[in-house]
Amino acid sequence: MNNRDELLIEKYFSRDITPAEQKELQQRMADDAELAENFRFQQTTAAAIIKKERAQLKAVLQATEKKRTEGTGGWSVWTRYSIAAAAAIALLLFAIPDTRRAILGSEAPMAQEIQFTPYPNKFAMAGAQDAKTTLENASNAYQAGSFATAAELFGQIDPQQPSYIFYRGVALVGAKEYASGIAVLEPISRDNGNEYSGPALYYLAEAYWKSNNKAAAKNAAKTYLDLLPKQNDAVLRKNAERITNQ
Amino acid sequence: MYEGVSFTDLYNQHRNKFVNWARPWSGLDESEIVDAFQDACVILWQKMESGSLVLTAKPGTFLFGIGRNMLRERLRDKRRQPAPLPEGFQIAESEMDQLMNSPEEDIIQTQNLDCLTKIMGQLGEGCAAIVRLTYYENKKSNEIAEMAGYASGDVVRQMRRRCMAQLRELYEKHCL
Repeated sequence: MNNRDELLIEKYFSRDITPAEQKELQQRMADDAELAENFRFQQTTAAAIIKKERAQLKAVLQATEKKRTEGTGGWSVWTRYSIAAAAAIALLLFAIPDTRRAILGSEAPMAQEIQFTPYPNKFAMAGAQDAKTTLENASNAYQAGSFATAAELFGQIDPQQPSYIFYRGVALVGAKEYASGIAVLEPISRDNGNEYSGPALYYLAEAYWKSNNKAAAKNAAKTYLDLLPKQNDAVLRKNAERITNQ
Repeated sequence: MYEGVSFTDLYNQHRNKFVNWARPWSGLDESEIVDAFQDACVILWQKMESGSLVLTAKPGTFLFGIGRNMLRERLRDKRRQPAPLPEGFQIAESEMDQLMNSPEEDIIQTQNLDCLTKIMGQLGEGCAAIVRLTYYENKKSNEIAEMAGYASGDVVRQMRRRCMAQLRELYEKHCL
């Protein structure tokens, strides 16, 4: 396989290949059986990862469905409709900023305007030795946006490891459990000896902001911006600036 | 997260609507419809995350389209055809075919991949990450270098060559 072959295959897998290049790749494979075999193995590898990820994502939905069934078990249709109606009113009041301001007045909290962005998942392939480790399940739940599950699972791993504590805290913020998130993230944010103290400060600020403790939120966001002036995570930085400026 | 919507949000937002649409005409019970809908959510989520799908309509429209295909497979034994998509959720068959057909999908449907999946667990953390970013997240070598802190795309290419050779060796030893 020469450099051109490698480039074409890379373009194929990054969905960047043009029709002309696709044709060229096909021709090269027709002329070179070894290249064709190599390419097929890469496709099979891709398929195996897709299939494995599908099984994990499906497990997350099965757990969601189980929770849903348990949550509504035995309730009448009318009870469910009443809850749905109450939820719709709550949504109207609290999830739509303009409506909320109109009904509750201009002093209503604006916490929803900071959108939660999960910290990049450094455990994305962790635990691959054993697909059923708690860490991998925690990582998969985090990746899939099931933050309550992720927080619970990260909490079951080594409680002394800053990385697990940090991701548990971020997952709690993602799960909208702000008070618990603050309790978990605060000690980490004060411990300058670990690599997560900076990002922990940001998520602490977001948790404070969303629980309407604006002074504490601004303080944490300002410390985050001062401590990490070259922080390259643009989204977190922008949100921190919005918190300090509001 | 995809544009502020989590995987489970996507599921919860459309689950009841899909079940209510499919139940009258499919003759399937709720658990079978839910199973098909879950498969649809998983496929759509993967396609969105890997960047292999450009959303030309709302996610719900794609979900109904993929979900209908999933139901079609489950109805094949019963020789029943799925109902047309509901108002506001129509999507062209050609777009659906493009979404559902790929060489990788064919491999998933036709090959037993369990052994390969298992031996992937024997790769080191660095290799596993490069393989996943390349073949699942469809990242280019220079993007992987930036994300994972390697000096350049060339370094990533070299590593990938070594990792794939190792995987191939394991595959030939344990799976053939």
